[in-house]
Amino acid sequence: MDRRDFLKRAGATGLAIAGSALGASLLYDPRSPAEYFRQDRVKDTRILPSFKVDRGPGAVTMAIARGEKDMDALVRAAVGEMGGIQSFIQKGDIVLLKPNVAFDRAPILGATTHPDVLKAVGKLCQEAGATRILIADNPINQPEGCFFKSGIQAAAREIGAELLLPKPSAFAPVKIDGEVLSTWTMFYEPFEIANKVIGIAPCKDHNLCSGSMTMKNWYGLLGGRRNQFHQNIHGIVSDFPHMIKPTLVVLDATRMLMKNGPTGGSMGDVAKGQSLVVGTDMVAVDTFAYSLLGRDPAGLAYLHKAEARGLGTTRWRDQNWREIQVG
Amino acid sequence: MFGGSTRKRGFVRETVSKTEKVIAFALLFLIIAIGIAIYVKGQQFDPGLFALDPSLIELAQTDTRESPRLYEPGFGPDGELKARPEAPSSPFAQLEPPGWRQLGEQESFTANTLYEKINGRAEQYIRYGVADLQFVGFTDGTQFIDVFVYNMARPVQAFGIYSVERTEGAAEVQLGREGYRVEASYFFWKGPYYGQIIASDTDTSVRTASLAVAEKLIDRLGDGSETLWGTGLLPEAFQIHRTLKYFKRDALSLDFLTNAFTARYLIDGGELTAFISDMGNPAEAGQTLEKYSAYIADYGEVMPSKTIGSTRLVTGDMGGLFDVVFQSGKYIGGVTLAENRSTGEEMVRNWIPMFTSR
Repeated sequence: MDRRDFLKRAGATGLAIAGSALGASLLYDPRSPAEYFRQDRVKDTRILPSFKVDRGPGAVTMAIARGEKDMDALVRAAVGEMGGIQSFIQKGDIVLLKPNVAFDRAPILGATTHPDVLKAVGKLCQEAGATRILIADNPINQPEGCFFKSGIQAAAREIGAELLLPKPSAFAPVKIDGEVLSTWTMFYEPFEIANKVIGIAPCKDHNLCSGSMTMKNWYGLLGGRRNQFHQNIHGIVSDFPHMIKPTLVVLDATRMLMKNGPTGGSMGDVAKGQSLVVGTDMVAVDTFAYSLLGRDPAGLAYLHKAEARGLGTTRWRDQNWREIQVG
Repeated sequence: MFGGSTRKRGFVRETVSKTEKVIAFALLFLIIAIGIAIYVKGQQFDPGLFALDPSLIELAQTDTRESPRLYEPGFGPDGELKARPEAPSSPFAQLEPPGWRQLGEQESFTANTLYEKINGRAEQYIRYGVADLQFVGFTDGTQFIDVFVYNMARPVQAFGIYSVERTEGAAEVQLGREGYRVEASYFFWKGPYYGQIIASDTDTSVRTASLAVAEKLIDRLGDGSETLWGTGLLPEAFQIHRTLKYFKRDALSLDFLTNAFTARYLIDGGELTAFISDMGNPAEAGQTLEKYSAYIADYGEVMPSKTIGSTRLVTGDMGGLFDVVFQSGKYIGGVTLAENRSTGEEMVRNWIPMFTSR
């Protein structure tokens, strides 16, 4: 190698090193990983819109249907007392139904929303002119198994609803600004499509928060390591009526898991409830529902936390409510 | 100079064939495509998965136990699990009854991952010292049978969680050390194992299949000879069948009462609950008795003290129902919610000699 050749090669090497250094310095992010994820999350953060329907003052806020008739009749009766499905769903609406399908349990075990209740609500929405019915949940157990064993998959197929599975790309950070949840990743995709949202929850015992009803049902939308919130379960459950304003909530208390919740497993823990509740105030519905479990709502902390934050009322009897016997 | 060789290379290829160029460009494009795919995929991650879970740090710092393996049935003299030579490789192998097939893979969960299967119910099992959970499901095409086997590491812990979850009044069946049936589902306790065979329906054919699974499984699980220490320390007379329970903590909903057995009794037409708690040493037991006295004073009225032999009784009127508590060495025992004082004290009077004779 002669001097010229050497200088050329050394120059090229120097340029390559300088270029790499320049590139690295341009790409270098001085933020810590935690800071990076925090800022990245905030940058892409969504906010859930309200799905409530303004029905004017004096509208019925809760309706209880009781009876041993089929679930379809109970749903129709309760929604009828609320002013009819047309008060909530209009022609062309895309309705998201959010059942509790947290576990791969059969419907008789009371750990999940009964598929017949889900079908009844879906059919009502279709009769009101909804063009699409979406069903979504982010189960604890493997989603396909949960939807299959709980009968929700078959119910969806039967009424022509679309089952949305919680694939990773369907999640997005959502700004909540709650007591426990500030910004958290949730199963957001269904909310980008739907313009009406109906939560359909079973009525069951819960080992940590004593009762799992319509408020706790929204826990199933959270992504990530959500079990960390178990340390402050009442705080996070009271965040849900702040996080989401659904069009309606439906409490499926046709049978109730009285013990060993939230998973259950023994028919001995399941009692006949023969009640179905529809409402627009989750706190009110859950206050009533908790008494169905034979417990005193005065002792359920998350109800009172939510009420103190103006997210609903535990004094449901002071509201405009209805009760109807079916059959 | 510069270490270069003065010798020329024998052959330098100056032309590159078209095929080689095509291959080279294809490889380059492939690398670029992989890079793009990684970037796109990276934009779809779930940031929640990276969130710090403080409970895991806590567990990592405190939980140094090694999980006993499920498939080592049998106990040694010191209560350790030992392998049984004829044990199958997995107790779940070919468990399915005729006409049924396994649904999905067998799943395993440790104490740290149990919430992935049973979520909010996991804490209760962790409190009872769960080592692992094995799960497998079966189907006949329309119905399901789910098998949950919790390895609770010790028989007393397995009995504890089994007993607090037990369905009262359920049909008794001979499965393991104790078992019962609710509709077509079976539940049992055997040694360190708590098993649940959960059926999706209630009909007879599913029930028959569930029982077949339960019996086959139980036969494969080890038991050992370790007995429950509390059974010999609670009176047998008047004890209501299958009301014995074990609480690792918060017995009788009292946060200071740990490691305790309780049972219900029917005496003269009235029910009461008796308990016995092993506090580890007499000093700890003495402190617990003082806490119990304070609890009575807070929520009821402490009655004048009586003694039986050298044992002092602490009696409380809890608003018309009576608690009678005593200490014997490292044990705290007593009755709670007796309908009258004399019934409670009489039961304790007959009970205390059981301790002095030990």
